[in-house]
Amino acid sequence: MNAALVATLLRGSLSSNRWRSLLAVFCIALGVALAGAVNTLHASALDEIDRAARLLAGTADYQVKGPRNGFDDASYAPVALHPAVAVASPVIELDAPLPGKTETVRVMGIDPFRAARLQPGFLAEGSSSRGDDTPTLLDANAAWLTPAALARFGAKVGDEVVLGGPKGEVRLEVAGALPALDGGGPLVVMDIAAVQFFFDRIGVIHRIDLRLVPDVPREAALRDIAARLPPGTALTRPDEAAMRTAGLTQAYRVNLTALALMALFTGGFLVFSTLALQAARRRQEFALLRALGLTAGGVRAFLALEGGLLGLAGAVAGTVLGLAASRAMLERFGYDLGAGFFSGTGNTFAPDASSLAIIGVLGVATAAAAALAVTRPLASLDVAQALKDRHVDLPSPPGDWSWPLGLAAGAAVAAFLPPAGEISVGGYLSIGLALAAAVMAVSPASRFLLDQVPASDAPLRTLARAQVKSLPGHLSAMVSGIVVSVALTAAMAIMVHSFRVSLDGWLSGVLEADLFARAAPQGDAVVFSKEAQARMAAVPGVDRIDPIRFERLTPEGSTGLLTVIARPVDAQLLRGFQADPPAVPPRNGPLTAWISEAAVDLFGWKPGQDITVPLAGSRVTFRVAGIFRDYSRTWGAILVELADYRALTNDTLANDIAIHLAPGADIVAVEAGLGRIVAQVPGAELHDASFIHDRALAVFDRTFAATYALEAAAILIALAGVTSSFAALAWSRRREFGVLRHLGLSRGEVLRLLSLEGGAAGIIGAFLGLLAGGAVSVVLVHVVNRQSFHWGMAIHMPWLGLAALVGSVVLLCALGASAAGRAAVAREAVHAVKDDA
Amino acid sequence: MRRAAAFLALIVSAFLTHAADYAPVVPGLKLAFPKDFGAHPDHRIEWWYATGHLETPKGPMGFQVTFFRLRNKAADANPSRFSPTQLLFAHAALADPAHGKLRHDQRIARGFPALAETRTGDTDVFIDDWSFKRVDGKYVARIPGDGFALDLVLAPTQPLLLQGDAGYSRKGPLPSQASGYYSEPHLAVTGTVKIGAQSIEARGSAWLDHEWSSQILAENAVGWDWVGLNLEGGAALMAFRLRDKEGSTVWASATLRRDGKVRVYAKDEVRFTPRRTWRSPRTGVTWPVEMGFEIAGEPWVVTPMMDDQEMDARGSTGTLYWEGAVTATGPGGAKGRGYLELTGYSERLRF
Repeated sequence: MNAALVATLLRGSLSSNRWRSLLAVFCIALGVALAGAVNTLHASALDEIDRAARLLAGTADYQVKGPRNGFDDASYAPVALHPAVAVASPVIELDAPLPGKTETVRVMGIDPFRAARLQPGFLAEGSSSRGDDTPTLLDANAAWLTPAALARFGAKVGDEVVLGGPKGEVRLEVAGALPALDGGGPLVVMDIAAVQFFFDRIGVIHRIDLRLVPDVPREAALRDIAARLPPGTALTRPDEAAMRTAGLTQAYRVNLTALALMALFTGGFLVFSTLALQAARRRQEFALLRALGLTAGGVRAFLALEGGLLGLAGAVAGTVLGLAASRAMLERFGYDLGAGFFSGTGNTFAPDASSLAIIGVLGVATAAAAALAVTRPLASLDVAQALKDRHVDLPSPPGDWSWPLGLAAGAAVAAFLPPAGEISVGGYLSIGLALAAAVMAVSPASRFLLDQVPASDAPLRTLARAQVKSLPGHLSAMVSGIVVSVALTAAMAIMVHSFRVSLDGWLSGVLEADLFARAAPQGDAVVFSKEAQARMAAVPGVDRIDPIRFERLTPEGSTGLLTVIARPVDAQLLRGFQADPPAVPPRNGPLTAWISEAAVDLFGWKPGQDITVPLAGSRVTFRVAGIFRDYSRTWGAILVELADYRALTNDTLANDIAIHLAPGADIVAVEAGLGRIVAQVPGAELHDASFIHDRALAVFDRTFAATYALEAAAILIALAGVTSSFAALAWSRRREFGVLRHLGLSRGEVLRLLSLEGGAAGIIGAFLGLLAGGAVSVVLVHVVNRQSFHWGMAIHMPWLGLAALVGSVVLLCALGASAAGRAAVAREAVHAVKDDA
Repeated sequence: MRRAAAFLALIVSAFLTHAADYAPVVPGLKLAFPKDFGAHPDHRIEWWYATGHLETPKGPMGFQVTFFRLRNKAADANPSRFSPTQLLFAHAALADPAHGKLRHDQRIARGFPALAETRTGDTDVFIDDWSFKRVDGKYVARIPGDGFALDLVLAPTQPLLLQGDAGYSRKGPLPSQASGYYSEPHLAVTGTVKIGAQSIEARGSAWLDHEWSSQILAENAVGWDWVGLNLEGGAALMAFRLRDKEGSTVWASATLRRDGKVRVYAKDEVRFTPRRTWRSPRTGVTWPVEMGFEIAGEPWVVTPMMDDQEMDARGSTGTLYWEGAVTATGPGGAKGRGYLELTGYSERLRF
């Protein structure tokens, strides 16, 4: 077959099936776009983390890193004096709010004399060479800003910029720009002593950057340096920053990619059913080609090429779409895909070409594989027979229950497999098997279901029943498409609804106070001092306040993150956190902590166990009193009594404050009184519980908006597929319709027959899809979610939504079938019968 | 007087407005040792400045080891351990005619316990691994620099030389423009100089200045010339002048100790006259590297060991000055060796 002929045939086939081809391309494009966007967002985020870490570290080989709230700066001198250390540069880091805005900026307090020996970029333009009134390096109010930070403030060198701090606004003069650190994001660099003072963090540092003396034995030196460090700090290399983040986000990323692959394979399945029907319709065409001398292999190659071209178009369109979408998301939302892992600036766009290529090839391969699956029976067709014969069916799937039952059993077993790391391999395998079982069940299930429908005298119903029950191959392929789409949509809907209802209930319990003063969302620079807390407690109408303090650290011997939530703990709070058991042990026993479900999974901790946590530079042992639910973090958390935390750490600051009103207090007056105190802490907010509750749910809905959009797309694709399938089917049944017209059926009756058939197919598909979707949602909620995100939840059925889903699928199937049939019965019955001559 | 290097001048001027906050040096100052060997942390500025000539198997060399301390009262309100209440600077240079220009390096740090300190009680100053300390009556200097290192012991051979009025040294027309100031001339030097990986035995003679003040510069002074000479036969001579923008002398003084007798010369008796200049090909600055001066009408001339002893550390500390080993001739065939310092010859320096 020469190239010109191939091109002609391709042009003919693709243009005569323009809409179906477009649909197939769209399916593939969607999967490729989603996978590509997830991959690009993640690659960009990691790239920025990596570049920023390397840039800011300069020539440092190692970094001493401590918990989120920092560590005692008394550790600095012993480390700096270690003979293997050539340069030690202490750093304090905070995220400070821009007053009146929701944005924060990273404040880095350094000793410029030390930092400049590791990274000369810290002493850049503007730090010298201006008039006598230029603030010197050590002027407490002088700040050096990276270009990104200057842009964020809309400021230039010499201007004043204002940051929110715990003691009020911090007014700084921009003494210079740091263009060499541009890749570090929006940074405000100040003297370390000034940051400690203005942000009320005397005695605290977050990092010590180290350059080691060359030619000393590294291992021994590092062990020795580590021995001089307090518990809770660790020695790491700057180039490990991105790797560690990648480790933390692995589960999250794999899950999103799995979602994308599901879209891709759904697309592949729809390509298959589209091409199958198309190929069936073109059976004569292929027979003619064979008669004209084309080999069976040639026909298959031709179809694979056609499928591959569709896949290629989809992959190219999907890659472009994915890049555009990730770019737009970066600009609007930053890297944070809703899980709070990244707080980058979003100014790095670093698509990973090799990953994108793999995803694209996967898209092409899916389409080509679908095409090949279609061509298998076609290639072996009997040419003479096919030239005469108008029978256009695909081979029917096996009609018995052995396959679906076997696959379903496999799915059930797979759900109990242990996860590989944080990746729920068993869960995804189980989902795949469950979907396959549902597809294989289409044929026996239609027979079984229609057997339950009593035979009717009405000829149309009898005809429709016969047609669907015998379930020819093309109808089976179409119903399978409906099953897969409905199953995935229903599963996602059930999971998201279960999550939302669970979160709603949890929020109601956790937000048990009347009002909340919150500094936490505005970075960690803003906190409530003990004095501010006392003034809030003294506001008339306030019954009591519960200060809440967060710390984030890495337990020894682990690389994971652990959040410490310190707040007054009582039985009511424990019930709110859905703790088990929700009771406070007597205070005279050992120190107690409640651990989140994630902490159980990630650190292997159990109730009754003694756990060791590095707090304020010493190892503290807590007895695990119970497990609580934490929908805020996918990493581990422990809940401890504030009084214990304060006694252990001498840290009296608070990130958030829960305020309980006295009975009968005038909430408006109390809010006004508290508001005056909160207003003195720039960046902090005061809200009532319902506001925070609603805002949390709004964030949830926004995060899952992409999921809703995907669901809608899946339904639309499935329905478009159904309509297109019916059109092909109706066309191929012209002769049958002609006969029916001859036998006296009116055109309307033929169309009604088609509607009935479509409706019946829709009902069967929707029913099986719901069953499979229910099973998949159980796996998603109890296996995938638990293993990947480490939180438990109960299944809640969105009945109304599911009913709407089933109703619209059945209705649209019926309407689609009849609309598609309209064209087929339009011609005169005589023609249709003659057509057979 | 001895020389806050030029970068300090601006820091000092930045603090001038608050001069009253710092302990003043007042007439009638009485020095007490060993206490005054140590730091005077309440004064604005202080330095230990050792310069000397070395004889080595590689030929004659000159060296400079300087530690500065600068008090920053503005930081006192901040209780942070890092609060920069004291700033420490150290400069070191090695003049080697075979190399043709200075090898030099510097350290800067905020005062921080155990890492960078100027201790009281006796001479004991250090920034990381750079140190200058008085041990058993001798000064021990350890300076591991970039590309060179100095490891020297400086042993006194003469009594202390108290400058000005028993250590109270006037720097300007106002009595408060003064410093506490003593010198140790004719220090016997032994030790090693390291250039690259090569260790070189060295011995020679040096001069140490230790000076502290809270108000060192008259307001119209832009720079100064200073010379300190170990003369043959054990005599010692120090002379300085402060210059204004036009190059006129704002203040000057000199001290000559000969045969144990000290003579201090007033402003009118000291006159500096540049004899030969050298233009730096790197910075374009013209330095009067061969300097003549008269003390009570008697002419002296100092000639540099090499012309290029320019110290350019503007990239890190904003400093540009000339600090050079010189040989001297004077009246009656007097000969000696020492150091000449020239500051304020470039554009007005900034920090």
